[in-house]
Amino acid sequence: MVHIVPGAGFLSGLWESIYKTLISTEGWKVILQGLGTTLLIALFAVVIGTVLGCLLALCKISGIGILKGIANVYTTVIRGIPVVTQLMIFAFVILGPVGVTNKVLIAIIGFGVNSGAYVCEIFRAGIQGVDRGQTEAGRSLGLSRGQTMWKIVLPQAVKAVLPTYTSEFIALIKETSVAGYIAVTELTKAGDMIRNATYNAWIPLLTVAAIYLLMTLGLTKLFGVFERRLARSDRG
Amino acid sequence: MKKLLTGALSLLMAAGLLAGCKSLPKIEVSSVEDLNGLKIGVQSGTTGETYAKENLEATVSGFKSGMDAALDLKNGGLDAIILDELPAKSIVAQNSDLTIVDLDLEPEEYAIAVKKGNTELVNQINATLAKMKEDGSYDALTAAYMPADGKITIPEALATEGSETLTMGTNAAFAPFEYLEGTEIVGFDVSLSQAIAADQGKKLVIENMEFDALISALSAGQVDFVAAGMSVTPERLENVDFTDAYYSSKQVIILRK
Repeated sequence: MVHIVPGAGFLSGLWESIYKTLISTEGWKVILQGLGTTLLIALFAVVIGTVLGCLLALCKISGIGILKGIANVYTTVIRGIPVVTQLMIFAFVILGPVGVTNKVLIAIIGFGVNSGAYVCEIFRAGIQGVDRGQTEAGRSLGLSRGQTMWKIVLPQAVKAVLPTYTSEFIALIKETSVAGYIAVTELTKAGDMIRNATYNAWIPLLTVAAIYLLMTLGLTKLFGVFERRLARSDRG
Repeated sequence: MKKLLTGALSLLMAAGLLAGCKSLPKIEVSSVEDLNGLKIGVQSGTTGETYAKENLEATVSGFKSGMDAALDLKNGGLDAIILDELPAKSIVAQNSDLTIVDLDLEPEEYAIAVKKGNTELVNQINATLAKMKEDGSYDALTAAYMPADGKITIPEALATEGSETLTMGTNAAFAPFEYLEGTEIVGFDVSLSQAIAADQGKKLVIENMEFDALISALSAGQVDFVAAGMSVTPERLENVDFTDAYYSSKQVIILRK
């Protein structure tokens, strides 16, 4: 007795493709290793980017001519060049020739430096978006400039910039997909390697896409929780 | 701040100077076993990559082109590169600090790939190849692109007219088979494809992409055929059809001098 199940051919074909691309050839290990590298690059790059961004934002609002100038040049140059071009410049022109040959390290530095410029603008906008009256109130209560900034302006700025800062982090995770240009085996490149070995484009690409989507969705949710937590003070 | 900048700048310059005279370790390779444990660069999607992954206990990095790998080799990021013979020679010709070691690896046959099941196009291309080998135009192409003295003369492009087009997929980073000369993509495969298109009365369109995207593009119908110094392998045969072979090549090793 033969039961004809509609779509069974498609499903078994799909299973066979998945088996061939991800399981029998241990492609899932390649994908996991790639995912690890992507996370490593994104996490360290976001730390570098945040630190650099903070410093540059402080330079921009410092009112000291030279610091402002340096920060302005930095953001203009970095934001004006595509990240993949910058990455190759770091790998083949700046860091490679001086002996830094660890590709993952180059990618971390490259993406960190790139992200710094965007984070700087986010923070600057956040700090400058806090009403002047807040600073004036703080100063007239006898707080120093630094105390006013730290205790009154920054807490409000952080709350305001969190949504844009989140999207910068998410954008950064997605941007790491071009690290394959300098031979880093991150998630996208891992998918490429499976595609090259099996000549199956569907499964590796869709798997990789699903993983990126899960990561960005997860992060959006996580930062959403922070935002709600920070927003509590608004209702009080 | 100025002091800091000056400090950083001088540090960078010192590092640059050091890099200028630093001596990278000299790697000797006289057999396949010597490649084990080395940092090896390949072009993504090539038979060199497959070979390295299947036969060697080495760290293999896939680059977008052989030239990118060569840059990394010169910077000390790699110990050796595995690449097809003629592109390797072309890279070494431009980089006096690199050299080639020939380990007599398995010979490979380059052929043109078409979408699986397109026997009509395979037959048409095979007919053109056979005709070219008979009337001497194949030898003329070889002489033009692989001259003994190394001075390539690019043949006049065949006038490919017609309203219908034939799209060739290639990766123009593989001299002398396909590379950029000024703004034009030229090479042995390009001239060969022009002859194929001319025989069918069609206009040749060239799509330049990453080597590892070629077979996917072919399967997705974005190009009619792939001529990119692509070797026939059993894995590829499962997914595309190949014409008769038109060139015999092998993988060689590039090292620092």
